[in-house]
Amino acid sequence: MFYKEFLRVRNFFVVFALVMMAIGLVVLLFSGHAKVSIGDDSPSTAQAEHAATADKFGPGPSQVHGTGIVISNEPNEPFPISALLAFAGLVAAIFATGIGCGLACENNGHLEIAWTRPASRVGYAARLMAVDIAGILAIFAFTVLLCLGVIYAVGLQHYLALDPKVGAVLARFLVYPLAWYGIVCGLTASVRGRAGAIAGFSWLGAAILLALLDLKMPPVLHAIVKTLNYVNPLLYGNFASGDEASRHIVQIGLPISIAALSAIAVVGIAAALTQWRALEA
Amino acid sequence: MPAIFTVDPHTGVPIYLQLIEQVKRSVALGVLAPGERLPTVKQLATDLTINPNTVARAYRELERDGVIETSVGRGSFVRQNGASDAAAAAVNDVASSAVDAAVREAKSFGLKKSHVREIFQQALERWYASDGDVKERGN
Amino acid sequence: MAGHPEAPAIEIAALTKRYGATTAVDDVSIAIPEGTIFGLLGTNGAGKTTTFKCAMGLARPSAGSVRFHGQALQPKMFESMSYMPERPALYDWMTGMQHLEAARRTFAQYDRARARELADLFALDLRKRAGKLSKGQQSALGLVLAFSIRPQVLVLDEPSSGLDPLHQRHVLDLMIDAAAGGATVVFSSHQIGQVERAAERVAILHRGKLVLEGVVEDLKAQEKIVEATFETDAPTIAGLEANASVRHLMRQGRLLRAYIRGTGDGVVAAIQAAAPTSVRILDQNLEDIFLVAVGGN
Repeated sequence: MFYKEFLRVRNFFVVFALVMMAIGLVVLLFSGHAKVSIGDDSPSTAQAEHAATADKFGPGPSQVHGTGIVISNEPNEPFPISALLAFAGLVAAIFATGIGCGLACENNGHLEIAWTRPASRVGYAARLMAVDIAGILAIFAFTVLLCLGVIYAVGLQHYLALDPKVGAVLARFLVYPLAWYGIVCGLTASVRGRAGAIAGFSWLGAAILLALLDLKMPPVLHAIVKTLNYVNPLLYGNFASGDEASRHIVQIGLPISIAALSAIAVVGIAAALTQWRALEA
Repeated sequence: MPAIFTVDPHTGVPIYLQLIEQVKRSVALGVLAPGERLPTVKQLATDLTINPNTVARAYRELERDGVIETSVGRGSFVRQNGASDAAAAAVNDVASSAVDAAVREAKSFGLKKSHVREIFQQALERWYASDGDVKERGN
Repeated sequence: MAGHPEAPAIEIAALTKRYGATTAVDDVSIAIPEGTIFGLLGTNGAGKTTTFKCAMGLARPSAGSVRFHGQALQPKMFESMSYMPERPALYDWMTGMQHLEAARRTFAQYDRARARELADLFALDLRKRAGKLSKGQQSALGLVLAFSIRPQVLVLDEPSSGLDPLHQRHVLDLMIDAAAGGATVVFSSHQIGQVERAAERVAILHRGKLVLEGVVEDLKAQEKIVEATFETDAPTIAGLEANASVRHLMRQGRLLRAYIRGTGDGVVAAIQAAAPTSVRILDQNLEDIFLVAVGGN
């Protein structure tokens, strides 16, 4: 019963994994050049690592929400594992946005085949979502392993540092993509052709919503923006390696972030299932 | 056993009536001998691409008319006993329906009864010319 | 299938489906006995597809119900029931083989050998993605999927659209074969000839309403045309319009046609009394019956 769902997630996974591996390869080649040109002394290698990491993270989170992973400018400062988990969380979130349109795809001309099987509608959707979530967790694990692989390949493993709150950070960035998944599912479950666009613009919308927090505006409007931001995953996904999510005016601790992201995921998925039950072919 | 029947589903004549007529004709002409097995309902339906229940209906009526007999599990056969009766009845049916159609046609042209009778007389004389009633079978 | 064996395999009762202000299906009741091939005819927008969607639980009826052997639709019924939609709801990115594999893992009764045999019958290339198949080949894949579970109930919406004449004949053969094996088959078609051949019963929908339903052979036996010609323009014959067996009257110059149901003895007598030059009773094929039922021509 999982076959078609598995195929779909597998196809997504393969594309994502190939892109990630290509990026990893670029990083490896780049750091290799750095080593050759600079030599073997450790500060320079650390510099290379910094460059590599910056390259790796450059087009990702920093542009999207303006925080990014801040790697110290000091060459000898350890590289926190939390930052790596944050990166994996971000990759998984993008992946989740892509596959979150699953129910919408079914709704776009496939309900006749999806609903004429010996399976309840909710059961069908739950199965599809379960496979999606497994895929999200798999891409998270893949990204972490790939990053570790690259770090070991360039011989920088000594700089990896296990920060004390790594468990909580792991939890946060595991639920982070699920929150995005929930949002995309909930927003797209009953649309037909435009699901992909809605999923894409959800990131833009979230970024704008977050940026509005910093703008000066009448208190009423600000209260609205602030309230809306409580369901904005970007608010809770602080990609700085630190644990405090002091995002602008809203102060959020790590446990609250995890709870909020989980709630967003659950509510989004529940909203998607509710819409799914009400659909008509 | 080849399908010796053909039907035209696109006429206004019900297919089962077409089939009944064809089976009777085949029996009358000896194409189907007494005791000979008819195709199964499924086989004939598939061969002619017509509804199986239509074939079953034709077989039921043929059985009622005493032309064929059906035994469960063995299939349908041209009746052994009274095969000549069946054949005679079949011939009579085929002939009378042909005559009936001819008369109906003649009438539709507005021909008078006496005129039609004259036509029939001419036809009888042509086909039964010298041998009188020798060729007459049945009745 | 569970339920009451005596109850009709499919019973559509007072089904109504409204979309906003439009009524797509208007108080339609049809009972389909087990083992029948049932043809649904109608012009575009007559409500055939909506009727099927309501029957398959894909659309919620505004009123009325659909029962299978006396029971409301349940997902487990699809273990032995196939639905082929008008547009095959295939996944463009999946190959034919992958569609079959998905069916194998979903339906306990899936018959692999049968699926292969059917794919060969329709000369279907299973390695191609569904999105790359022609319209007819997509229909063929839909048919392979529908028949490969050897279903007890088949609901096929325009099953032969896009198929060439040879493959269209295969579709009829498959339906006949299934019905001979006891399955109940319901299908819609624009090709009246297919319904005429394969269907035992037929229903004609027009603008959402059921206008005619019955056994095809009985309809042919009952529905006749009395055609009369006159010396001058065909006269208006008193009482003919009111006669219950007259479905439709056509007067054109010296020709009068009365579309009748039943023996029509009274009709013939009434026309005879008007001294026509000729009167004859014509048979009607299903297409004639259809055209009269939907008020065309």
